Amino acid sequence: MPQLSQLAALRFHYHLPIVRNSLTWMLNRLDCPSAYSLAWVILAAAAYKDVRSDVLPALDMARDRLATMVEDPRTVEDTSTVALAALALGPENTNNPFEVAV
Amino acid sequence: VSPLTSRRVFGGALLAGTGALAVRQLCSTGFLRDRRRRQSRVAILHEDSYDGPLDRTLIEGLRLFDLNLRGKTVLLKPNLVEYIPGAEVNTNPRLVGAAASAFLALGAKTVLVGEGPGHQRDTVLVLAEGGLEAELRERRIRFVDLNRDEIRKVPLQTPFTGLDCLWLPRTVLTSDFVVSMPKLKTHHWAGVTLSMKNLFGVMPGVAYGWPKNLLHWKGIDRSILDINAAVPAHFVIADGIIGMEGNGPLHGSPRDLGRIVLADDPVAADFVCSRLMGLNPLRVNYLAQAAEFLGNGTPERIVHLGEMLPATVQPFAVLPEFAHLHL
Repeated sequence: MPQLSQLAALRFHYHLPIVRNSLTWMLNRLDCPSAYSLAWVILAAAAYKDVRSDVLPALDMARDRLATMVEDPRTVEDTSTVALAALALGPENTNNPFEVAV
Repeated sequence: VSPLTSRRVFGGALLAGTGALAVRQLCSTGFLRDRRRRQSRVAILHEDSYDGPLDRTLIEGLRLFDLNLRGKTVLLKPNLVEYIPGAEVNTNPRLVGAAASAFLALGAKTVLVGEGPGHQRDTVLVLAEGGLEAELRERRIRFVDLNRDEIRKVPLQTPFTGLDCLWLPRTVLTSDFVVSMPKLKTHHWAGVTLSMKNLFGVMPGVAYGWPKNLLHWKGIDRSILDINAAVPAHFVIADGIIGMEGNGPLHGSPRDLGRIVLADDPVAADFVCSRLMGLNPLRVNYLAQAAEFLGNGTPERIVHLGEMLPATVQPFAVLPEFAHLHL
């Protein structure tokens, strides 16, 4: 989901309506049936957990769902899904695992 | 210089002038093998809606071909691009499920469904949102993501893209009977997307990226010809119950046609489907070229087992740049 990685990268442009609306749209997609896309939703939403109060509870719910979906990684045929899920279920103090620290 | 390399260089030079005439020259000079059989068979079946008795219609339609499926592994390749609510983009899941059950009823040992969507990386999402996942689960049919299947290198014998080889999914290469299941749609770059264009979806994303970039750069028409020469589909079940006209393959309008087209030759299938859409297949570049060596396009070499083509059709709307396709 390249759009979701772009949304994560727009964290410092949250004042723009298109970014706010995109985040709202994404938080309404927590019932996503695919582990791959749900992992991207979590990774993108995590970048916004300090700027909007409804993100943290949504993240908790999404992580619980994702953990159930990939409980047995042998049932997930696509290894990139397993890797993304591992990132998305990683330490909660990480805002954005793709962020380059300077 | 190897014979294969010289064939590619010579073929490439001839194809610079491209078109059916160049392909005919390639065949006449022995650089391209004429694979056409003496006759191809097509059956146009009537079915008004996806809620109809699709299993029965397909079993009866397939019986017309007297196929030997006993003990075979059948791979169904539907057209799954992405899910757009309300749009008729993908081969209908009920038709795919009915086809799977029909092949099993006619003696196939195993039926698999495989696809490698070109736009959407998340195949699981397309399957779930489009309804195919539920349909296959209910019928206990396994799905293979061809974008991420194990891949094998296959040398190319045709010169259209200039590539030495294609990387193809193991599931496609090891299946005994490959069935292309397109949806009848117009296409903003190729004119129409039918059973031959549908085989773009067997090209693995892990090798060619999304949306199969290398092949788009080499040219859609040329890629279609090389892919279909390397992976000839044994059979076609085309979803023409509701097609798409206008700005296909994603953003066109639904078009009720009420037909399913079965065929034992993808070229013959696409010629008949084009005519059902009110379009002239000989004006679709890759179809005109394919009819010179891959399969049959001329009416005298196509036997109709079901309904005949209607005398008149209301043509599918096309983008202005494809107005010349109208019959």
